[in-house]
Amino acid sequence: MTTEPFWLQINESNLRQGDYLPRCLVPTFAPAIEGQTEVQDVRVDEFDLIILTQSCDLENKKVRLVAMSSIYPLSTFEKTNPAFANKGKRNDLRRGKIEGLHLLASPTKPDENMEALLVDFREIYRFSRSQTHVGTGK
Amino acid sequence: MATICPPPPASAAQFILLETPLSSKVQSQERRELALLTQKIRQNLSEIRQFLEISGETDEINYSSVPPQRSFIVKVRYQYQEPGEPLPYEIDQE
Repeated sequence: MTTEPFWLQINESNLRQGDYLPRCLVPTFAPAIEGQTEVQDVRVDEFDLIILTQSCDLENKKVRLVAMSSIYPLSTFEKTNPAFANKGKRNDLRRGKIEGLHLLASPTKPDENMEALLVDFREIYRFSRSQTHVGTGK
Repeated sequence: MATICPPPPASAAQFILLETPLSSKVQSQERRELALLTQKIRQNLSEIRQFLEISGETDEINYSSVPPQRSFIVKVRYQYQEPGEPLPYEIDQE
């Protein structure tokens, strides 16, 4: 049995809910800014992200900020969390029983469960629409 | 003085739990009271079992988020521009 592709590769400027955006740069700014101008060191992390904001809100420009969550391969998640590297926990993930985590099929190998991607709803970032376009090259 | 007894028949526990005060088998006052008591015990055990099942399902599962693929530091210059304003909020006219 073959699995129909869950993902579709596109090349356009419109952002939609569910867009998978690899290698996004996420800055973490200092907690406070003093004065009118200031130079600070800012840490920048690179994550693969997926858009959470509803497509209609993005299309109709109802939102200024675009919400995104981290998404990473299941195998990478299991390296960080070895307690999840067993059949029982993978089944819990597949059934959606682990709060905050959601499993999606792999864009390249949808038939292989171990290649699946995991959305981490504990890690949510918001960027302006222009930042999202610049950061993702869209 | 302790005595060695044979184990109770396997059907005994089931019989006690399944008997209800409305059963046709319950004739005497003592048996009716015993049936009421066992029914109450059964209800309590059932509630405890449900609680244990629910608490087992909702145990918080801890996990760590995956660290970034890479990190680096950049110099950023902040410049104050002006106070932000809320977006216009259109109310749908239905």
